[in-house]
Amino acid sequence: MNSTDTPLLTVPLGREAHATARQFTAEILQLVAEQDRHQVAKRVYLNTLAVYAVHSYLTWQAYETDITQGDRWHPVLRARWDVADLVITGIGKLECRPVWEEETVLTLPTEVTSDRIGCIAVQFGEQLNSGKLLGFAPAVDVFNAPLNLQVADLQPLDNFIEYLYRLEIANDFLTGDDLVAVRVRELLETRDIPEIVVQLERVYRTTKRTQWRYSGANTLAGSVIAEVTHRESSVEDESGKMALRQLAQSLMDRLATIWENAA
Amino acid sequence: MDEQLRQLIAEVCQSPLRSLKRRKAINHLFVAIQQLPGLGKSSHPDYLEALNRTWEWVNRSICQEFDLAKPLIPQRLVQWINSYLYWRIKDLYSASGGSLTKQRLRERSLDELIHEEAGTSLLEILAETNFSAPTRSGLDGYIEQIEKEQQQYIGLKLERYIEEDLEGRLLNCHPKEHPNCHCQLLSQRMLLKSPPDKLMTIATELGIKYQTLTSHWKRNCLPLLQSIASELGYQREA
Repeated sequence: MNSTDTPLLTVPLGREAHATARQFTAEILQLVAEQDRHQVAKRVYLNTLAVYAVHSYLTWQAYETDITQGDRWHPVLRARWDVADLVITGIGKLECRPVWEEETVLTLPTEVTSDRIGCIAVQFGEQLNSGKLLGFAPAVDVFNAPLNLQVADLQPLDNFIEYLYRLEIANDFLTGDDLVAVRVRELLETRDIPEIVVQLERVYRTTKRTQWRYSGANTLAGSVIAEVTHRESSVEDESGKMALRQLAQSLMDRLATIWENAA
Repeated sequence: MDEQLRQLIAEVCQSPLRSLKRRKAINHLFVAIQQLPGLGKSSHPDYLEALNRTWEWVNRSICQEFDLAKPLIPQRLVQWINSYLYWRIKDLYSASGGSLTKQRLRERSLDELIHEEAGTSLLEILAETNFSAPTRSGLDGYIEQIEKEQQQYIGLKLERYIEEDLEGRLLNCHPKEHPNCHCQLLSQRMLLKSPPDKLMTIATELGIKYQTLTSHWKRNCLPLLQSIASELGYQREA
């Protein structure tokens, strides 16, 4: 990242930001075991400031966010989990992590590595009256361990905007009239399209074109991997799998075209 | 600087508000404006809030309201933003009930803010209520204060409730076909265990679809835990 030559965007954190952080912290304190009170309270306070900063930035950028959605909104979860997520309407959950200015690594705890579209790091200095948008990392993979991100590897905000755009147009495609989109929707039934889009984008970005039919099919099947281990494999399963892979291939090809044209 | 800003603003205004190009261009414009000297600064309690809202307004108004054809772009841009900032602070200030100095404020002109030299600003004179953000070094003390104010304390009670579940409310809450995926088990593994297990891991282990498990956890278990917490005395802050 080029934080040394390009100044970072600063987000002022005023009365409302701090009142929100204070309120969240006070709520959470009720649900925390005594020995953890101080540590959890501090974490919730800073996490809330980070979320508020990103929420402000997205508002400046005319995005809609829903601060009453997401894990963070459940006090029971927030008391136990180190979460700082913000829902961008129709796109997904973004993790907003506070980082002190001398820190070079940020750690994403296990509880935030599964369903986030990515992470924005918000840098704080001595004065907590503002935060700087340090950079962005897109979702990588479903990890079962905490994930360390190097501050130096974070991407600039422009990449973040491009990433959100890719998710937006893929959502448009998947809710549209294209035959492939219609078939995918039939398959997905009640599943959340934005969530699937994030996973498909990840497949597109992190796997080889030749792997798309398999990784894409796994994404569409959701938990087929989890289910298949408990079931005898049959001929029907095999042909179903083939059809699913074909659909995944067509879908990935369509999305790749859309994304490449947009780039 | 003049030319650079002119180009940036022109770029911003070439594309509609929610477009990719606009959003990238405005990123750069925000950063450029934040580096300009003379942008209003104040210790007024509503200043930061007003400044925060100012950036949204800049994006939405610059193409209609700011004249790119006239010279002295940096200076005029700073003036344009400062005058908005001034009125925002005034609005926030009156909304929060500040009245003593309203009259005084009315008597002063906008120019006084805009042509403010270093030193005490008009807005600082108005700083009567004292909001100041905590500092990093003062954060521990600040948090301790919140801890002292919060006397309600049900953390252990909730843990015990989850473990014992005497009425079986958590145990009996599960997807129809999967009695083993009940909320007690999920709460133990997702909340009491540290670090928590992943829903994906639990889904594989119990042979349930990840999607089914996730929606059960979100739609049934979390609200149930929430109401149990409320019964135990948890209160949402006003």
